Order: sequence, then structure tokens, then C-alpha cells
Amino acid sequence: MNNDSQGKTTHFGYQQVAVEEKAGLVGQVFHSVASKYDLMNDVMSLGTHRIIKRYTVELSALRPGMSVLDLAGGTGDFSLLFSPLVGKQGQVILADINESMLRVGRDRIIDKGKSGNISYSLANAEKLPFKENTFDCICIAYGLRNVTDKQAALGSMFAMTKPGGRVLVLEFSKPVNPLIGKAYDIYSTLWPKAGQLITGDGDSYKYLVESIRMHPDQETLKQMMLDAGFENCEYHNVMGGICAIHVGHKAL
Amino acid sequence: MLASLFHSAILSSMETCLNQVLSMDTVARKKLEPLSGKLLRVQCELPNLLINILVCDGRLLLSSNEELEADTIIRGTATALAKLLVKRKTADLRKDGIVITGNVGLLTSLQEILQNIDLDWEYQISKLIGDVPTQALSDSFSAAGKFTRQSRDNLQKDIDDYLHEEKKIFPSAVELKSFYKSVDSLRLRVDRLDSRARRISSLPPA
Repeated sequence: MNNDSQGKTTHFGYQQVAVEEKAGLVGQVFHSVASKYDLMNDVMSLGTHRIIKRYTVELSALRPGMSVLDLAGGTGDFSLLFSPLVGKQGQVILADINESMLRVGRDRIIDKGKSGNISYSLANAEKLPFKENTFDCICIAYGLRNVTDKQAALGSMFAMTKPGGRVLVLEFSKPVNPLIGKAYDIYSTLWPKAGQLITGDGDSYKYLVESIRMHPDQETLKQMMLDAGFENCEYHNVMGGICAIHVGHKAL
Repeated sequence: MLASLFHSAILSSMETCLNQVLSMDTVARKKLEPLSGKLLRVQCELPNLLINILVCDGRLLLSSNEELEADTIIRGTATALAKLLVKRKTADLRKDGIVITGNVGLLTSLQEILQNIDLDWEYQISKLIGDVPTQALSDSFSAAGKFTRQSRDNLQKDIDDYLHEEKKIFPSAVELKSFYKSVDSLRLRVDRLDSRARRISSLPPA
């Protein structure tokens, strides 16, 4: 979070907005793109987001019977991957702060007939409404950068994780190779135009591109996770650091 | 990381195929259910690969995370492991250089289930195109099968007739039978003649 010295403003893309306004503004962005979110993901990532998600799920080390929180889970991609992994005895909770996204996710999961072990929660990542030490794994994918107070969210996630459990943060990050970085920058300037064509809302994607650039890099986020209390934090760069998967463990 | 992503993509496709096949055999899925929660790790040495096979609610889930605790670990070269998939008997595993640690029962159960998969194609097709078209398709397949069998039999008969009756290249069965019969009777007569000749030659001269 980039609060200024008075702690009154935070960034919303490249703009500075009042802290209390950010959640609402982010909310508007996702309300607007919810129905075409998956299609846009495919367009922006050229389909690679599916493999990246699958790889993230592998890092979750989940077994049947475990409980997992798919935080900022939106359209439910992760919940659908977690659900067979934890089985009938396990539990998946799909949580999102945005009602439209959660609705799209819930409908999609029910339409696929996979509702058995998945529950839904309209929840703010900064103040998770669950009992402490509840989840074997909490996963937040492409969600942390939209949270107003990232440190508070990581702290809340730490509290909800069972001792011995882990947190996975999949997020856009800083490309390691400057050439890849440059190419990616150029490519991402096309997203608002693609967004305009597909969802009819280019501004939302302009925010997404800006928010990616404003997101802390790998080492900063790792330090934030350590500050939140996680141990053995590590990160895996994906596609040369365009994305990074941070894994943090809660000590037994 | 790219290699990991590639590996992940391959595992994902393998998993989809495997579960698609399993979904066609409800008996196999039922048999898998008691194994739910068990994890078999396949460590291939040549090439170096690690695949975790987790059984969960009648499905097989593949991953490559080393952190997961395995119930059974099986190590060996790719060719030896491939042989294991096809072979019915697991007696000569050591000869192939395969090492198993942990619960061997899990491995044999999985092997048995995968080797005895019986696919119900009609049900799967009916899910895609509906019951009535599937029945029609199935009927036309069995009609085609019947037609093929009949045509094959007819062709055989026609060739037989052509060679025996039309061209007379080969004798017919009746002719052959009568020929054999005359050969037999000739043989008997010769035998009789032979014995008579012996008898006559053994008589003292008059």
C-alpha cells in the first residue's frame, strides 16, 4: 500500500484516491467486467493463465479432507481446481469482496455441477469473517493488488491459516529480464483496447494495467509476507517474472 | 519455471484424458473410491520425472509437488514403468530395476483397475448426441457389422463355387469324397490281393 504521510490516500492505478474510496472504485471495475472476465483473461494472457493456475494449485499441496479458502476467487477458476483435490470430505470457500464476480463464480460452479464441497462468502480480505486457524491453505490469485491495505489482508490471512498451513499469492510481478519487461509493457498497452472491444469498458482495463505496475515486486511482497508472520516464504517467478507465486507457511 | 509450466500443462492434459476414460467405466470408479486419499508417487529416472497420482472420489489427480507425502513410491526407468502398465504380473519387478517403497497394495489395486477398464462408449456418445441418435448410431454400427460378416461369408462361398464349379480348378467335395472312397476300396482290394498272393506263395508246391 502506498499511503501518503498522512495515511489518507492510496493509489488507484496511477491516481491517488482517498483510502475509503478505493474499495468502491475497484468494485466498479469488477462489476463492469465480471461477465466477460474469463474471456478477457484468455485474451490478455494468451491462455497461459490456465496453466499458471494449475501450477499454483500444485504448490498448494492439498490432500483430500483439507479446507481451502479461494480468496478474491471471482469467477471460481481456483475453486473448481481445488474442489476435486480436497474431495467430498474437504471444503472449499470461494470468497470475494465483489458481489458481481462472486455471483458469476457461483453460477458457473453450479452450472458445472460441482457445488458439493464449495461454499461462498462475500468477504473483505482485510477482515476475513472466519474463525482463526481454519484453513489448511489460503490462495489469493490476481487479487492482492486490488486490496486497499495489503498488509492488513496478509495479516488477516495469516490469522485464518491453520498452523502448518500455507498461503499462496499469485500476482503480476516484475519481469526479471528487462527485455521481457519491455515487450510485456508494450503488450499490456493493448489490453485497454481489447477490453473496450470485448467488454465495452476500456477504462477498467486501463486500471488493471496501472494497478499491475503499481504492485510491489517479488522481494517487497516476500518481505510483506514475512512481516505478516509467515515463515519460509519463497516465490516462484512465472514466465520470467511477469507473474510470481509467493508461498508462505504458518509455523506449527 | 517454463519447464515446470510445461510439465504442469502435460500433467493437466494427462489428468483430463485419464479421468475421461475413467468416467466411461463406472465400475472402475467405484473400485477407486476405497482408495480415496491415497497417493502414489511415480519417480521416473530416465527421463527424470516425478508424478504424484492422488486418488480422490473415484478420480485420479496428477501433480508434481515433491512436498506431498506419498503412500507408495515407485522408482524405475520409463521403459520399465511402461511395462508395468501393460503387464499383468508384478512378480519380476526387481529384474526390471523397479523399486517400490510403502504400500504395495495401492500399486497393485491401481494397476488392476487401470488394466481392467471396460469402456461404455454408447453411454458417452448418448451424453453428447442424445439417446435416440445413439440408438440409431449403434443400430447402424451393428447393421454394418452384420453386413460385413454376411458379405465376407458370401464372398467366400462365391469364390469357392467359382473355383470348384465354374473353372473346375479344384474338385468339389462330392467328387473328392468319391475319389477318396475309390482309393480306399482300391487299397483294400490290393491288400486282399497281396494277402492272397502271400497265401498262395506259402503253399507247398503240388
